[in-house]
Amino acid sequence: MNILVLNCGSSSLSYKIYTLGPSGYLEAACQGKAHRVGVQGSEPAFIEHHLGLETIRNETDIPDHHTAANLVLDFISTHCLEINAVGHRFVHGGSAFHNSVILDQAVSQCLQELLPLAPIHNPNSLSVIEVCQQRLPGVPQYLTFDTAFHASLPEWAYRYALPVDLSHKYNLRKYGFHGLSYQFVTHQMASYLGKPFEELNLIVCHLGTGGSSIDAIQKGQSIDTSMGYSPLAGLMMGTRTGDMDPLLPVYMLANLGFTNQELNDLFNRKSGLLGVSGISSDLRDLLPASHDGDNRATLAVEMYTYRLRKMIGAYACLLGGPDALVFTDDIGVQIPAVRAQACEGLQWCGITLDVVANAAAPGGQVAEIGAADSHTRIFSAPTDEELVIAEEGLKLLKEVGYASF
Amino acid sequence: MLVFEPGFGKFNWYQLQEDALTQGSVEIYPGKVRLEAPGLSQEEDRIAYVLPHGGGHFAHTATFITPETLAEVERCLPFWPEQNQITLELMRDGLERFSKLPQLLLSETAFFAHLPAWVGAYALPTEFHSQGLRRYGGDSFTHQWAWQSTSNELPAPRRLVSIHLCDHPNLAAITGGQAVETSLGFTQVEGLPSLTGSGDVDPEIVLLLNRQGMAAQDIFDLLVHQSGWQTIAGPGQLLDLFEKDELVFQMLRAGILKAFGAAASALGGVDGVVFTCEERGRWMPFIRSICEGLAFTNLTLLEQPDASHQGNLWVLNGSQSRFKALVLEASYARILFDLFAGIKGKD
Repeated sequence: MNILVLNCGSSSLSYKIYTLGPSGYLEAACQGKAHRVGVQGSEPAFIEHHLGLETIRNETDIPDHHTAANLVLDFISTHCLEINAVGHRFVHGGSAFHNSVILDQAVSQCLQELLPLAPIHNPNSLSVIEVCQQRLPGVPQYLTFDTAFHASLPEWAYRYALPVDLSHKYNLRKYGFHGLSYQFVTHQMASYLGKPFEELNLIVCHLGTGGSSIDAIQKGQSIDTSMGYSPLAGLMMGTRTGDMDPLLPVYMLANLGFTNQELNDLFNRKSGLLGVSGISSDLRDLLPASHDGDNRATLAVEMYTYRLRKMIGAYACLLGGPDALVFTDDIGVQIPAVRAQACEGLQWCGITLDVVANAAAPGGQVAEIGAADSHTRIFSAPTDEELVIAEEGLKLLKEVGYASF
Repeated sequence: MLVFEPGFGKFNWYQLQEDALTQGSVEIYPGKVRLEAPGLSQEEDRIAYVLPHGGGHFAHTATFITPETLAEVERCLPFWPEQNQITLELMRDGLERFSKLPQLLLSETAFFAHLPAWVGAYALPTEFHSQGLRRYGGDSFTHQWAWQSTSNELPAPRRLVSIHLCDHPNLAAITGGQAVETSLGFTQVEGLPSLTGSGDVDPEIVLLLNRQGMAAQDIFDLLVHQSGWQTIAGPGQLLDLFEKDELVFQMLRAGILKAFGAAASALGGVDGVVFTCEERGRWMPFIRSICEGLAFTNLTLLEQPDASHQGNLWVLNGSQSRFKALVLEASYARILFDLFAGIKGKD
């Protein structure tokens, strides 16, 4: 019984094939990732597959997610792997989807309408879905949404102070993203801390190489998050600005002669760490550059960690002192210096890092990195969005009565 | 001293004397804007003009006006066009008609002129930072006055979070007499909503509305004049709105708690928080609710606020607290008088 999980990033496509073992647990039998999808640059695109103990790496042209999906399915058919269901991560579920759904005609129709809500992500996911429909006819497909975990946001958190009729017309509200990751981390921390999910208060920082966001979780539910209507808002990111005065784009349109398309490109692809540093969108490049005296790299790192620190302090007050602060995803678990700078000077709200434990934390597993006297416990913990997608699928397929599940 | 402050489609005047602070407003009609206030004459001690957005041009809240000042104010127009334009026209009229009187320009952004680089910058390519696309803050007078009124009460190293509770609530983080963070940004629209200003909105929404055919000027009007607390609970002063509307209270409470947490984190710790407001009695339930939300920092509250020798300052925190919680009650006119009436200079 195999579920293929496909996870579209802005410039990558990850996949995992889960097998339902006899004990009822899902195990990843095969996985891989297409890198640098649609990225122009000096380094070539490539796809990697891990099957058993074997790793297969192919450098090849991957101009779009459509091509990447075909490469994944080619690999699967070459190796005669049976696929019984396909699960997708769809970034923006809009107001239409608060839960995972099986793909059918009506759902397909709805997805078309959601494309403009996440212009970088949603069209890529849709093209991957279409490839799967063509090449795996008759295999059930389902969708999970990054916005679904935030369906619990209270009105005081999701409401913008904009005219009601305008908000209704364009569905303007805070949706929030990275929900699959927050769902995974919250459940994992509940079992790690031995506390019921429904009693857990957490701040989770999902720091990815592309997008980053932070979530305030009260009693197991998301009550506020840094991304907004789109994944542009909130923390500073690899190439995205994060929050800014809404009159800034207005000023740039009115006084500096920018077109809408130029601003869209500037804010989403040329800003953030890349724009400020001028050299890279990746903190793993910027920290050494800053260490070597590059002033712009230093400013980029300072801005990134400062804005993160302010949001942690903000959510600590909103939650009234959470049980734990968790750093997750690639940047969150791999770079101790980012965690250290983000937690600097937060003793006032009960957050004190253990410098040694932080530096020694292994990226691949949950590690406690808070000082013994830290009121809020601090963790570095990897996320697993694909496992959440597979679990959601298992639940969904059982509900609708697919016999083999 | 007579102070003129621009509004939207009007300007306000403040007559400031030690024993009598009076104020009023004058509607503006198309045509030349003229200084008007009861008893306005060549006998005034001095005339001052409030500039809402100083665009990085003024490093002091008060500057004696010279012919160059007009040119500098002209350069600030694009940042906050409607109100800065009124200030400019009032200044021109005043300099023409009262040329013998000393005149002051009061900049609402000056207290934030020295924000650290990583605080002032947006995450845009650095060439934009030098084109003036950065955070300027605002509401300088209230925050500077709050610092002056409370800094002696604070334990070292005297890190203060200053919260102004008014129709447009906003915060400043201050240490050593210097503002190091603000909840306001490029303009005063950033941060919490005002009565008609949107506050923080995902910038993607601006681009979406523009793609849907709204021109930049229409989006400006939307975010400055047609949004804010009024879209949640209808017209009225914020105090009236949150007393009758639970959602306004919740949004305001979450917004202030988060902004406090951000400001205290920016300071690397906090030695005091001060709430400055006009109607202390009516704001007190809200202030208590905020302090209760901060109980996890060991902030405890006295049953009855302790009035200090200053008369307009109250202490809320119990002795167990790690930082002070203070309330200041003052009108804008009082703040203007305290800060600027005593300035020595040309007279």
